[in-house]
Amino acid sequence: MSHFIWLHFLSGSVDMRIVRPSLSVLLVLFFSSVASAVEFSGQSNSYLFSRETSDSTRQLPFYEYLNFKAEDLGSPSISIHFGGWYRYDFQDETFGVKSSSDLQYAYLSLKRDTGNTFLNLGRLYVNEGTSSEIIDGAYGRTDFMGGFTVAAFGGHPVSPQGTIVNATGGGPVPPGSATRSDGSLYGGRISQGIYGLYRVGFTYLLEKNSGTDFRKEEGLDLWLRPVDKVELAGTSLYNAITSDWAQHNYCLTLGPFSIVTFRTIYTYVSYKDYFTAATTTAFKLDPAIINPQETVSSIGEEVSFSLGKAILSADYKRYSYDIAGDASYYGGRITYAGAHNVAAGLSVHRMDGQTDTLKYDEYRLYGSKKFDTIDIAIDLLTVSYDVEINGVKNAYSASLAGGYALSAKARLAADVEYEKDPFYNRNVTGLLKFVYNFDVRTGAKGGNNQ
Amino acid sequence: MKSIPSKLLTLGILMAALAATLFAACVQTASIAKKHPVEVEAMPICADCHTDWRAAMNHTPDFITRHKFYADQQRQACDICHAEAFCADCHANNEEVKPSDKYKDSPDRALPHRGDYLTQHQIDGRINPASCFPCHGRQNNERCKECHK
Repeated sequence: MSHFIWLHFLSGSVDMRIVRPSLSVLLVLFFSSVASAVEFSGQSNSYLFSRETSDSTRQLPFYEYLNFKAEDLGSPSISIHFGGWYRYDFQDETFGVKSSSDLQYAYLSLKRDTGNTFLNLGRLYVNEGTSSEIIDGAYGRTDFMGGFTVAAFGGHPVSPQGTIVNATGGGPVPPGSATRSDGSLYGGRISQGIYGLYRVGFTYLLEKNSGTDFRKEEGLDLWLRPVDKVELAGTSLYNAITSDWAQHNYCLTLGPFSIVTFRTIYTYVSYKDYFTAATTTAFKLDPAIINPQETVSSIGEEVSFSLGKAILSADYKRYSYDIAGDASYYGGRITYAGAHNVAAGLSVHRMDGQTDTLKYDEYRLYGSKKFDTIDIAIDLLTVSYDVEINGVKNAYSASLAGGYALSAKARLAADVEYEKDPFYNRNVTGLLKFVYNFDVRTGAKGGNNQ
Repeated sequence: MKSIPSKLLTLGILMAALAATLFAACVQTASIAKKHPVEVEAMPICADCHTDWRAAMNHTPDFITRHKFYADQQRQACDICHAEAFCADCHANNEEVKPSDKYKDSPDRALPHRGDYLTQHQIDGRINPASCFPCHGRQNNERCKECHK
């Protein structure tokens, strides 16, 4: 199956203009290095699903997820990383196609032992300050003297060929830029800090599409721990095209004081500045969908008590809107993660809003236990609506999962889930899963080849 | 007047000099470890060993809502324990399987969209659409387009 995935990716059925050459380089590097000291690890996850669509059509898709990394490719500083999946439907067609695939990431990584310096090339995930992007391109970072860190990235945004529904600021989409497929994206971040005390960063991102500035974002990120047991972290995102703040997101943690920890989270979102360049109508800036005049701020508080292996917590979150009605979400939970590979949790929450759909109670109970080579898990979830939706007042889901370790590297598992909700009268889904872990060392290090 | 190749050569020399200067300015302190020196179990409580700022990274049940603050600033800290595939399970360009469906055998992981999310997404989408947008706004929305055409 692994070879099949490679052939499928390389055959060109995925948009591979930049990735294909990168993959070729990675393959050459990989196979030419196998003879030396290579540390190879990875995982294969094979899933066979049995599920039902909303029009009661039964589907039987098979998924193969493969990921691996090869390190010490001639030098401890060189590695390659790959992740992707392939799907084939044995019955019906998921999203109207018999098979599909995605190259999640595939990049060559060069790292230095000093200064946290790295350079990644290929399809990769960028995570810098307020920028989280998947690109075909390059991403590098290094630390400088004086507590400064500089990162830069650039390339082609990776995304399906979705039609853009919002230009920046909610205006009409410029002709010739209906999708992100012809775009380019680059940016960087500079930050300064003192280890263990604070770090503040500034991020810049520019996405162009057919020569037009499509997204121009600036961001601030902050982490501050002025004294022990006080931590403030967060980000602010500024839309440089609409010239307004799009989002603030901050978290203040106090504690733990003995067994108690307090956590406050504040968020603010301006819809016209935040929901830009979307590729689904679910986020269309339209008064009936995403009202461009709307802003929302929320503030939440959670108090948690650490009771040995158990954590008891109570939380409250208040949503305040300019236009829509306000809402509150509150409740509590207790979780246990203890000895003998046991995990369990119970949570109860209430959503209390001004509209009918925002009045419901939510309950969840789960537990899992691992015995020697066998593990089992159960998860129960129910939502009770104050006002019926589609004539149904309660939604339920219950899942039962079990696994068996065939060896230290191989595991077979299965689960079944039952659902009853306002849109499915009843629905039963099943999954058969086989997991295999690769871990191979070759060459000078003299490791095993299992 | 200089020819274009001369300009390119000058630009190249300047860029090389800049790169060399930057390289020389790089600190020589050791990079973050590639791997955590001690094997840790899933959902680790960092405070069991660390008494400094790292104690705040305890993987308590709410960590899923605040892990972004740490990843935004220093993603390499995550890489000490997590392979890229761990992040890609959720942070995907195009994903057809919900993370919670892949890991029904790990209910203690607070993965999004558990149970019947068809009904619940309408409610969550109304109360806080900004929570959907980072993952489904510009990518990974093929399933959304089944209805939101």
